[in-house]
Amino acid sequence: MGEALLEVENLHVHFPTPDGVVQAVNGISYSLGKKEILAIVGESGSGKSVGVLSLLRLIPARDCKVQGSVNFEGQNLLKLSDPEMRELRGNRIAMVFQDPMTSLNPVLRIGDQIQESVIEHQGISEKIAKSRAIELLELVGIPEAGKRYRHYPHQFSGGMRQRIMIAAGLACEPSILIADEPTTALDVTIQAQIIDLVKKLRREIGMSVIWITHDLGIVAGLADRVAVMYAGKIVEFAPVDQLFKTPQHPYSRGLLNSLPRLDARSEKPLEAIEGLPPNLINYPASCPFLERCSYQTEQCQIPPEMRSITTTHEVCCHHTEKL
Amino acid sequence: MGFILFLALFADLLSPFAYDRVYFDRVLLMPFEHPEHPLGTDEVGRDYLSRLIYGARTSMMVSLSVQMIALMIGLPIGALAGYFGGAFDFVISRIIDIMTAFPALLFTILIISVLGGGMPTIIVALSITSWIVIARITRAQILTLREQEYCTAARGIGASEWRILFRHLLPNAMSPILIAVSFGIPTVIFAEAGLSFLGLGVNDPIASWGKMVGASNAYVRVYWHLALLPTLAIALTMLGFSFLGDGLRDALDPKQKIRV
Amino acid sequence: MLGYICGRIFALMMILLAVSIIVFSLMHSVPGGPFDERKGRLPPAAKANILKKYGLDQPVWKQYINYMSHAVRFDFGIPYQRPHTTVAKLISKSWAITVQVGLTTIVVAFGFGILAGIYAAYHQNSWVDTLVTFVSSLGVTVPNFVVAMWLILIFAVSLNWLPMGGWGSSGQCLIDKYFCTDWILPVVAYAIAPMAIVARYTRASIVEVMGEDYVRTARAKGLSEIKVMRKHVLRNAQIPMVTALGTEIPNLITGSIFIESTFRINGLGKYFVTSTLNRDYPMIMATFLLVAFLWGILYLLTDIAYTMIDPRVRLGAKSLS
Repeated sequence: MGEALLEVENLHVHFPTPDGVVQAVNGISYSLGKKEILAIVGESGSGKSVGVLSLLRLIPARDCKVQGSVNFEGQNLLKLSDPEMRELRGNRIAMVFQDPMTSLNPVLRIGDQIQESVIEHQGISEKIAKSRAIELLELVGIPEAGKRYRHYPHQFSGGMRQRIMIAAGLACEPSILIADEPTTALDVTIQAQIIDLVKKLRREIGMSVIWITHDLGIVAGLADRVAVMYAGKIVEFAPVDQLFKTPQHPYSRGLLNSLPRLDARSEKPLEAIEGLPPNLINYPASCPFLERCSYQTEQCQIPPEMRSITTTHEVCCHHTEKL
Repeated sequence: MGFILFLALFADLLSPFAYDRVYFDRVLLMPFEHPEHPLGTDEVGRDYLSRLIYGARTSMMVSLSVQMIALMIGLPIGALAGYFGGAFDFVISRIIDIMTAFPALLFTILIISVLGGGMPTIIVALSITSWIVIARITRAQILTLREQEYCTAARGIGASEWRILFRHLLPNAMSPILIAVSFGIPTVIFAEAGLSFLGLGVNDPIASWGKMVGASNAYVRVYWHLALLPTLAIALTMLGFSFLGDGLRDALDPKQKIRV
Repeated sequence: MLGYICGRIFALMMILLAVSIIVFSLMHSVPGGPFDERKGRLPPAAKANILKKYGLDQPVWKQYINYMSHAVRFDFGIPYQRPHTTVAKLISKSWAITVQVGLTTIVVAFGFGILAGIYAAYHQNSWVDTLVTFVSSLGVTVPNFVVAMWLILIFAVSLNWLPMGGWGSSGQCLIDKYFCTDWILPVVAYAIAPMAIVARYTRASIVEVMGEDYVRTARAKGLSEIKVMRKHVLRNAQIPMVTALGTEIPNLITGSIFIESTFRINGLGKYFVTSTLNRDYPMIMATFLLVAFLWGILYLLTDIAYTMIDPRVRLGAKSLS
């Protein structure tokens, strides 16, 4: 995997609200290697999106409190000044969002939206930026790029728009592309195309990718390593084949068992995980998965720490032996 | 609002003087200058407090009767046009188009220029422009409601067209119509005050806030109370009725979908 | 697009025709003509003569056709109040002042309204925001002649800073006879309501656009806050702002009547009132046609403005996007 490009340590994101503090992210740590695709998996509300948005400080500072450290190229991103942070956004670390229908500005031509970050960060002329934008459109597989460059977002399908979003993200050749559920709003066939595109781009450009999703099915064919998040914590962190073969945390097991499998006998019902995730305002003092866990014991009243089972496999549970 | 309505209803009892009683020896008194006239007198020597109180009556009488008439005309016409469609709807829609092709107030002025001033004319003229709003909203409501499932269901069990319209559709269409009526009240108050201000409104000696403002224009350099008091009365009444309309909208239409 | 505009102009012509028929027939449906009040002074022969001069002795439909055939050549007849001039001349003279008042007001209202709205949106719950909300609820409900009276009481009567009325006659002007001290009160009184509405719309639409995903995308690209606002937020917030312009058109047209009357400005609005009081049919008719025409054109312009701002809008298409 090589040395780490990005290291997140003990990241907390808390939102003060009139009803109390919402503890969206509670001390997550992970690292991202060069050219690595890291998947962060979790259900809605598990803090996976907030966790990456706060890396780029895209949540207004007045709305939330962020603690911990995010080290990228020798700098702690959380300590940078606003102009320094802006210099990194879109330039060294780019982001692709969930809904391509709403994430592109409807009144601007797509070419304009692709090239604006290059113009901002590299100060090149409109003309060079335009040829760069057309190159990018071709790279992400948009036919007739020269003509399409002048079109508006509403003239594209959802899948095409997500390709445009990716093209805009790649404009400055960032080291890291953060993709926040980029395929959730798309059809399954389009989903596969986007995944193939990202894998191809990783090979060709050599960037690292953090891919947020709630769909374990996508993870299998895409990621190198997987972090499973639950209630603002990483509960299991492992290379993708290890997680699928030997899931250690009861929640990861539950997620895998709830996936439909083509090779399983059809009479066997899918197993849902009973219950609901804990309230993030009154965060439980015990293991957060306690109420939904079938392996619970007295010990689980004390929240477990992350520990390594093998050199590459970490899990946050007291009962890994029993599983 | 209650206060304004109260003033309007009991104007006779509350006013120290009759609104048209003229004291030739007490012209243009400042407030508190004479013990019998706490708010002074106007340019022909009428008690200003009494005229303000009677002004509330004029304002309320015009606005409430106009909205009543508008509702009585606009509701059935809008409902029939929306429900049955066809030639009747076409004619009504074109009338609405033409009436909205220029400012309602100008149209009111036109009617007044033809019919002459005075309270009944004002009520007629304002009703002619106000029913359009009610009819338009009723028609739009009925148009959307008649496509709903329960309407088909009612037809399915053999309810007559009239029964569907009056028992099923109109009750459901009532909230936006009521909101339109409540927002119509300050509009009419403004129209009456404005017309009277321009000299196109109620005739002398009837008291009207708008007319009092208009008449004060010549004396305002010294007798500031002549302008200040009726303008305050207009502003407070209109604000009050607008808040009433807002409140009604919040209560009846929490999603704020209706635009008047 | 061109076909759509032609269609709209045709519809406008139809409306003008309908308006002219309605106004004309209304004016002639009531017994009593404009010269009745002078009955006592006019001998019957002289009255018949005047009626003949203005063509009032002919049947109504003939009068109408006669009138319209002249009107299409911009000949709107002779005003009864001023027999020595023509309606077209009187209107074009008074019109200039009304347009000055109106345009200054629009510039002030939209300029300050947009600035206040942007500031309020970026500083939600600050005192400017509260002030904007307060003034806008006041400005929307309180009639402009009431506001005008208050301004006169404060700035002309109590403080004696500004003249009470007139237009370009105070002697203290910025350029020649324009932008004088006596412009200030009418324009402020006239502008307050549209300004309040524009500020409110601007604030609401900016707050809404700031929450859109594409604004987050723009920030994620590392654009500076000013660029995000200029390029992404304002471009989109313009769309509801044009709607505000559309809803303000009628108020601007009727508003000038009150403003001109309060501040004694000899504009079109004032002539409109005197014409109404005197039943000056040619003047009323011409004013109505002018207003209906202006109204239709302004609405057409707002619709065209939509297509220029929002590429998704196609005029004449049944649904958007």
